[in-house]
Amino acid sequence: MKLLLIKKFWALVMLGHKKNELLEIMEVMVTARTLDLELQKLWRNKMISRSLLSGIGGEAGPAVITSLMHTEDILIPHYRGYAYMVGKGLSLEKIVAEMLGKVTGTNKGIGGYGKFTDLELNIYAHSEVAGSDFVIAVGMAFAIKMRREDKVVVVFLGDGTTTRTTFFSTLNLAALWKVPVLFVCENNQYSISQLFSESSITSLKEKVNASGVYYNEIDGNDPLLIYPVAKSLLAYVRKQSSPAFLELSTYRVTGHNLADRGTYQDNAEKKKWEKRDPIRIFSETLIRFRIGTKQDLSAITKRAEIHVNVALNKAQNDSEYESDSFLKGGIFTETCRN
Amino acid sequence: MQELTFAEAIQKGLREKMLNDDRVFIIGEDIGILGGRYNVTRGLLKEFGPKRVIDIHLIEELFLGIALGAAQGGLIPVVEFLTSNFLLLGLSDVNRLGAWKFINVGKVRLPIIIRAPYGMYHSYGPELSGDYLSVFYNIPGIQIVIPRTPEDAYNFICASIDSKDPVLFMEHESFYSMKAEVSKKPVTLCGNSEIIQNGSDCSIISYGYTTNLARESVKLLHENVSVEIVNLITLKPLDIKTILKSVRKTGRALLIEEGRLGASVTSALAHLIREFNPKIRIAQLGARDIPLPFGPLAKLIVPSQLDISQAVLNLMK
Repeated sequence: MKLLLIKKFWALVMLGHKKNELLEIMEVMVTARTLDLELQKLWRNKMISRSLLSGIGGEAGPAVITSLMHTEDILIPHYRGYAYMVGKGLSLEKIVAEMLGKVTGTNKGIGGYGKFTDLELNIYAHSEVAGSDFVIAVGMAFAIKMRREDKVVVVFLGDGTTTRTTFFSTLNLAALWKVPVLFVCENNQYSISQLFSESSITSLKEKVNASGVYYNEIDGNDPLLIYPVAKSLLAYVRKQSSPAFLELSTYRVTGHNLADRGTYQDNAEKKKWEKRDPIRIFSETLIRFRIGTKQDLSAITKRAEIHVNVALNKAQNDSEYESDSFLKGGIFTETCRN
Repeated sequence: MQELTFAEAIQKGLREKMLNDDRVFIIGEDIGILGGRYNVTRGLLKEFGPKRVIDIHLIEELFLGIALGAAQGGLIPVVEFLTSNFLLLGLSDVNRLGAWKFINVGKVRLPIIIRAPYGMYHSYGPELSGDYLSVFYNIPGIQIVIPRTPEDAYNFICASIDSKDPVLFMEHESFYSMKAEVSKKPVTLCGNSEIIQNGSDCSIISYGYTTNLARESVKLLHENVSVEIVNLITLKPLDIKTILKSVRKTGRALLIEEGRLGASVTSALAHLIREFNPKIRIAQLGARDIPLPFGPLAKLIVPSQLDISQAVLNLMK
């Protein structure tokens, strides 16, 4: 505990007490959490008919890392949770509309689960075929290198995708080509019902090190610890134009999706991690080191609630893609159009 | 006007586009020093350097994911596969390339050219010979181009590189050394076919190698049958107007494909023709639903000249 406090204190010294930056990260986390909970309510009330996944407990990594990214940096988010998009600056209205399948969503509600393409913010779509995004990320980083652009790619992935054959090939290629990409693996230990330890006898660290991609790991539930590690990795990727890999150790405190109650998860383990909730940990940190007051934090919570509710109310009144306009003009697969 | 082999004609197109646009790059196995299995890229490494002529190792599962990322990042990748069989390793990606514009509701376009040698007539056995056009035909969002002459190869590789959406550029393995005159022509990928022989009794509709086979076969017909041959250069989008115009005139259609019959390209054509006019007599020829034997027995599986002429005569009965 003492060591942890020293570590955190050191992180703050390294950061030079960027008070606003840390409070902004907190706001992203709380906003993503609030949105997550509200969408769950809608799903339970059968107002969302599609499958819904929760990102609760996983907000820290995406919130911290997106706060360190430049607007021109490319983000390929993971499918679970909203902190990626909120952190990169996408409006709640667009996120909510997309989740509710409305035409006002970034991908008009028809592109697939949680697609938030925004070319101004450089948010690109993830693929629902897990194990494809990091390949695409290497392709985009290759383009950056070829065009001598000053930006990097950050791609998020889950531990479940690391058993795909594409995983090692991608790391191998990224190291070989020396392209500016940061792979962020949110290791929440579960690939739906399968534990990471049931799928591999070697750790991710061993696998990544074997590829030649620079590796680091950190507690994924403690934002203040993630911050300096992610910052130095991003700087490395940017300056060396080389790939790096960050493993965030965390735990999926929810089922795979809302219909999954996670009956296969160990209750004691789950409880342990629920106590390690990143928002709770970060609140304690911010108050202990006097970066924010209790009032600051409750103001953040209030603002998040208001913003989410405004966005929800607006999106609920928006329309869905109509069959007529879809068939007449909106078929985006047709190739002979400009 | 220049006389070029099919392989040289593809290279001519690639070279011109690479010279004009530094976003264009080519990637594939052994395409650098070796110049590719069919010499299409010979010399390009020397001319454009290793940044634009990229030799890549055995990761076909990644080729099109890399291409997707590169295209999304502003480049124009031309991806060479060793054979269409190996393209099957990237089948999930082909589906993704076709769907990507839709997924991104038009915000992202993918100018990607997939070059895949294919063919069932060269007896390399079940794992290195294949057509698979029926598989790709059923994936929305992918344009399929099948050049039949060096001139097609040149003009259509240029048009494919100019296209904003993914193109599957299928090169028949027996065509590479074919030599003919090549001149520049504006061509469209939006449904393209040619009538290579006019006739009034029966239409033969095919693509690539089997079109040539049909032409030879018809020459050998002793009977007085006037055959019209329609060659499809783009399989997708299909030039349905030309097809229907021809079958309306002749009232008979022999549809030939190199791939296996079944849920196939010619079945799709037959359906379209039947919907247009149920009275038109239709016959289909294609490969049998058996893995292709290695060696000369392969000819038992694919349509022969004799099969074609007999099918024409049967339609005339």
